[in-house]
Amino acid sequence: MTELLSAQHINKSFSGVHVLKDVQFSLRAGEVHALLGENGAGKSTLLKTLFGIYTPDSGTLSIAGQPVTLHSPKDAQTHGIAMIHQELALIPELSVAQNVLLGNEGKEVLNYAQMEARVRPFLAQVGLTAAPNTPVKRLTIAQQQMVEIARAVARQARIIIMDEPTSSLTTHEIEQLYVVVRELTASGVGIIYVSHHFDEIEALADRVTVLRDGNYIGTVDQKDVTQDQLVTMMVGRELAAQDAPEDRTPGAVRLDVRGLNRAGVFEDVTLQVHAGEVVTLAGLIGAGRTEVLRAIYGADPISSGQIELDGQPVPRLSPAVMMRRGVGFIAEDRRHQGIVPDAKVSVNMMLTSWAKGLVSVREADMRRSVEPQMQALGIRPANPNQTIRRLSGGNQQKVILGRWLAAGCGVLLIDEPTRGIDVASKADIYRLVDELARQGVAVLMVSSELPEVLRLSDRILVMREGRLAGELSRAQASEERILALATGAQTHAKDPSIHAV
Amino acid sequence: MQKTQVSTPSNRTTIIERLREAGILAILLLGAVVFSFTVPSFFSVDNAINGIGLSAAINTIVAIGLTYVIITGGIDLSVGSTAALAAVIGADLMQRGLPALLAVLIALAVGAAAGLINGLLVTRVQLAPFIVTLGTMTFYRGLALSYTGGQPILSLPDGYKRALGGDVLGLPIPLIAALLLVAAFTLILRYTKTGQYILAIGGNAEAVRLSGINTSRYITLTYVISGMLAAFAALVLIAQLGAAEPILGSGWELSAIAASVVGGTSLAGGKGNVVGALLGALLLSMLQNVLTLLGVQAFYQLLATGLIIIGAMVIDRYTRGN
Repeated sequence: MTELLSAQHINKSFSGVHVLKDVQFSLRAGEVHALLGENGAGKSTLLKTLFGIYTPDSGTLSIAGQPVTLHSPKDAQTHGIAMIHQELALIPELSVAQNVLLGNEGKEVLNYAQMEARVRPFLAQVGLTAAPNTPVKRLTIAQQQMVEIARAVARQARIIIMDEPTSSLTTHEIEQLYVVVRELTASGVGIIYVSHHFDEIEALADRVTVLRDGNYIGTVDQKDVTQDQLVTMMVGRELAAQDAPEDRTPGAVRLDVRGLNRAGVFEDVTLQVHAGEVVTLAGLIGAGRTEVLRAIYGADPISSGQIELDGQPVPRLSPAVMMRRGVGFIAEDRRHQGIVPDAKVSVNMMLTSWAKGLVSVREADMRRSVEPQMQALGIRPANPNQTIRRLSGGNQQKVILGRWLAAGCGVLLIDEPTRGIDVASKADIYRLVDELARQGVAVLMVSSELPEVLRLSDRILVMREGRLAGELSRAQASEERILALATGAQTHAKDPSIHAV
Repeated sequence: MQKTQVSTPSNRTTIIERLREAGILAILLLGAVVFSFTVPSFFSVDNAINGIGLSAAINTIVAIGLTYVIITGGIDLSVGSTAALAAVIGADLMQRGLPALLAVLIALAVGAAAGLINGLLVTRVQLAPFIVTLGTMTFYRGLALSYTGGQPILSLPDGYKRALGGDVLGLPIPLIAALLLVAAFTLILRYTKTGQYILAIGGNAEAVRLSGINTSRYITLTYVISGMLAAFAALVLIAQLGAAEPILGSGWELSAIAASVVGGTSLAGGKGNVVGALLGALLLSMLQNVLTLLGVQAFYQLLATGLIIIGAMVIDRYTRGN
């Protein structure tokens, strides 16, 4: 097999912090090479180095056997490298065809018909059925991702970097992505694939390279290793077995939602969460789960419905009211709805405590409140004055969890608690959610990761097309049954042990 | 913004920010030293206080409020018109024989009300701050002109002129007031919950709202502060002039925005400080003062001011690194 890319002895420091230490990486034609490591391990930095965003301090980079220096992403592109970013980099108002051909449109005067004709084969190759003149903003996230891949194909990229491509996709969409990835590799393209999901790596990867704390740990053939071995390589120790927590004992009803409606988004959602119980809203993306959670918190308006907390009705819903009534909320989109990126960790953690009058803004006061939380949550670096933007996703999530722990809450609403965070932080967050429930907090969660749903939940409410489609107890629940309810598949609906609503 | 998963030394940003604040101060001092040797009659206590300090005072007072608004990610173009409206109403009431103190309080309330309208349109109706205050800038000016029929209000009470336009220990009261307000609003921003929420809202309003904070209230408050300070600046100015004109305050929004931004407040929100606004106002005033002393024509003064603003932004761009 020919070597498409080879990086040797790559070093990179930022302001004296050694982020990549003597890292190596290579990519062969037609292979999927997974890059694995916890957040902060240096994956993103390595990818950005390979894509010309960063220039390494030392080390050599060769493409197709020729040593090169990449000064910019444009350089990388001329060498046949394309990157599918975690946050999609398309222009929403432009059409599919314009996005695919961006920077490569042809003549000054645009010939739309011709452009559309040019992109059709590329769209077919990635299995995108949307018309080439559709504005990209009307596409689903999965379709947008296919547009990005089509753009890479149109540019005749030989090396495609995919940074957590499945983080916003449904199971079905992930399957489609697999098909496209396999077709690309069959045509000789090499793919660098970053994911936190071992099942994806198992399904796709030929080789796996593991980084830890900026160090190169090793490259292995995927077939030769087990998931546990990879985890050990990543974290440098063996994680406690991920067995299910013992049964918790739910108390009285804390959160009582009756007939919640939002016209055109979801209807007639009735649910209860007891003290000490973890209830999960499962379902496909677009089923209305996030919208329900936001509506309960008062973040979005509702058309009708009623909410009671500990038996007391809440007359007017708003985040400020719910916060005062002891409801916490952690949004799905951490970067845009969770953190104040340029503020310190301490400020981010104290936002709610200040409003409750628990802590003043005096530094000493804040430290007294923030430091124990940081220690309990295992936030690294353990520096409350650090700008939160510089923390890894897992640590940012812990800070936001700390925000509600510090302020105290009786009901916690969490949307995708572990999206885009590393294995070790994930385990920490699972432990924290379990502890909260044991302390009597009522937890209502939205999660698209079925193993996570099964692991954490006492009860699972499955939504489909804006309605509750059914309820599963912990004992009844399985991935198949959740999916059956979520998709409306017939086979399992007949199962008498599951009561469809 | 790039997602950074890299840990770097912790206090880097704050140190750079301090250096930048010190940088403006350094430019200001360096300028003062250079001009002292090169510009005749620049170096004197009188010129420093009355030539530069006094003329910067009004701009500083307006720029404090604007800094607060800009930190939340907003803008207030209506400060000049608000100032005019408050000035003519206050002056008219005084002329009608109302006690000066009461007239001042009413004028401040007018400024607060003008700001409240801006704030409610921004937060409740969710219009863009630029559009809202562009509209009210015109509307409040119209109100001020209709109120007086376009005429200036002359002959303000002597007691009032002395109280707000006089001196204490050789320092003009407007300058003292500006410095006290800078101190107060610096402390509020740094050491109160309100100040910290205003900064956090500029950093990410949605995250703050979802933390259970009534962000609308804090955003509205910044417009109220901006309106009140504009009104106060106008009251100080008419005490100096002895008359209130309905066209007073034209262009105030631009000089105040310039002072804020030169002082390191980011138009993107989330970052800014009141001391910077003071330094920015002083820098702009000093430049104007020097050019006037040198007998440079007003047209060229505009060129220089424009260059300072752009120059400050260029320096900002390069010191921020990324």
